[in-house]
Amino acid sequence: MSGHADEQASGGGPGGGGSGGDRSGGGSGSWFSSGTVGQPSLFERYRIPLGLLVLVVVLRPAVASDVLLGYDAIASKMLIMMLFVAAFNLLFGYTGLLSFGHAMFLGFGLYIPAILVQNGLWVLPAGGNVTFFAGVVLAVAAVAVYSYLLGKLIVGMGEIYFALLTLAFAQALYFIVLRDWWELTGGSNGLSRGTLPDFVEQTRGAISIEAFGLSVDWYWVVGVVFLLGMLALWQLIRSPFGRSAIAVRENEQLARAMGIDTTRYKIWAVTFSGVFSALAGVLLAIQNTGVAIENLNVFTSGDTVLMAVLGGISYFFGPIAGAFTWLFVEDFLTDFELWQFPLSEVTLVTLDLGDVLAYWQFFLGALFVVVVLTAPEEGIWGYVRSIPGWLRDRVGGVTR
Amino acid sequence: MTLLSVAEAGELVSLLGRNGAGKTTTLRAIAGAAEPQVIGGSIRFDGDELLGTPPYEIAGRGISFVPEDRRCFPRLSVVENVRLAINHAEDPKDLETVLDFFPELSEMREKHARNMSGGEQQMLAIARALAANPRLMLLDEPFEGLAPYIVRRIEDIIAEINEEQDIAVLLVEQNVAAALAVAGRHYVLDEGRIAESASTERLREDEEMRQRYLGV
Repeated sequence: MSGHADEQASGGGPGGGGSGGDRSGGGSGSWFSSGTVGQPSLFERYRIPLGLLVLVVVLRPAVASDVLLGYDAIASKMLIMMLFVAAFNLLFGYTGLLSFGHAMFLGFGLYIPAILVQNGLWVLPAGGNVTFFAGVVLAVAAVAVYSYLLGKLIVGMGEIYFALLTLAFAQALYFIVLRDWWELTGGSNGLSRGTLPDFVEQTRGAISIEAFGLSVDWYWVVGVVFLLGMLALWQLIRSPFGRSAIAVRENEQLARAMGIDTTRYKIWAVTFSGVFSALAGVLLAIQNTGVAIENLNVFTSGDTVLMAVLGGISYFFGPIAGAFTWLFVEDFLTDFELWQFPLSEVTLVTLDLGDVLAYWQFFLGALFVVVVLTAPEEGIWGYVRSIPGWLRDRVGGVTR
Repeated sequence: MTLLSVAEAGELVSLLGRNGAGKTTTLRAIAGAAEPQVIGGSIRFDGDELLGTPPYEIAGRGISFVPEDRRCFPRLSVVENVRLAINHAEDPKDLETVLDFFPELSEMREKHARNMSGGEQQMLAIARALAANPRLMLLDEPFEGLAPYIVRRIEDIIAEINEEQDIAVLLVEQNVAAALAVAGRHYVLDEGRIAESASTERLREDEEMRQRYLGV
């Protein structure tokens, strides 16, 4: 149960657990208390931004390698979902509010720019680049107002009611979009034609962005937006606002006794989470070259919760690990009908696993159960973090 | 229940009594953290009614509360815990002033509260309360579960805060010896009422009173 609410190295060292400081020993004693000056090293300070950058650079080639999937189309989707789950976790992991309807915030980003680009409005022509950016601004403004008001209405009612009411509001929004009274949302068909602005080019399934005479691969555009979004989230968590949100989650009574208006912080956490989720929605609409109503339904909301818990809600990188594992397992298990070992031309063992792997959700479910039973707050990322300390212990044991 | 004037005097007062006598409830009521249905009457601070005021506003009026358990935010570091109080107080002390007061803590600035010992956490909780620069500090069982030498250190800290910083302290304690060592005046609670109000000397001498209300 003992996780960090953040990834600041100064807090626990790479060991993750409480004894991280003891293990670091010798030269790296600065993990812990030696800091009378209290200044973390340069590496510690820029650990998170560096980690995010490395992730963006490495993710696509890693996913595309033969050991993993062998193709890279999913890499940009992974980044988008990571951003979305991280936005969700700002609310759940940091502020302690479980939303069961987070797809509705995603929906603002999915639908509003797409609807505007498809139909145009006054001086904004359909399909125009300016129209698209106006749509993004409108989506962010709308989701901010909506989530603020929603938060104001429901955060005071207690945890269970918050979860149920977010679910109820998300379902209400889902049915409004499904009914499509004003013939804007496409109902159950979603939006597929003319939702993309002019600067998005599609060639043989691959998306690229044409701007200022340059053609940029869609993955790198997602990468940049992902980096900016995640850094903004990270700064938010490190700010006085974020520290107060953590205090609300850790001990609400004490937080109130200290002068923190906990209700206000919860409302703002809902608002920020909604805005960042909508941002992920904007990317997802381009990624899918259209909007499917499935992205708004209750399963999307549920998957979000599961991804966050799977990855580890106590860590900033938890949602990243969770979204990666989820999407990877989903794709890996549904696409690989033949499992060959080793993965080369000369195959020793071939198993026809098509029938079994069709039930990929079963395997994901099993993994989820194991993680929840063994590390409910630490998740997969908690295990990843503990590897260096574990290795050091092993190696130390051998040399001793 | 009738109460007591501590804040004006800058006094150091303790609330004593057996389990269930109503000590903690009294303290929590002042801080605004008690269940509303258990309190009646009136709680005044500087003439202002506190009853029905949300706890975060009570904190803003100069009352710092250190609860009995879960006193710190375990996943925040020493500095972050203190800074949280500074950010949410109207006229806070600055970080260095507070940490100078606790040499033990200034040696573990980046340590997370959950990795700290009970005594260190209690110090941090008091440091955090001090950072808000209150006029009245409420301490719920500050010596509970601490080793004897740490109890003495916390006693010193509380006395110092009271004398040097001129902050009134109201503490609730089961550990009668420690309460006698640190506080000058004591209220003895019995079944939700103040049974006695006594000086340290009188409580020390009056064994019968100690037996009857405190069981020691």
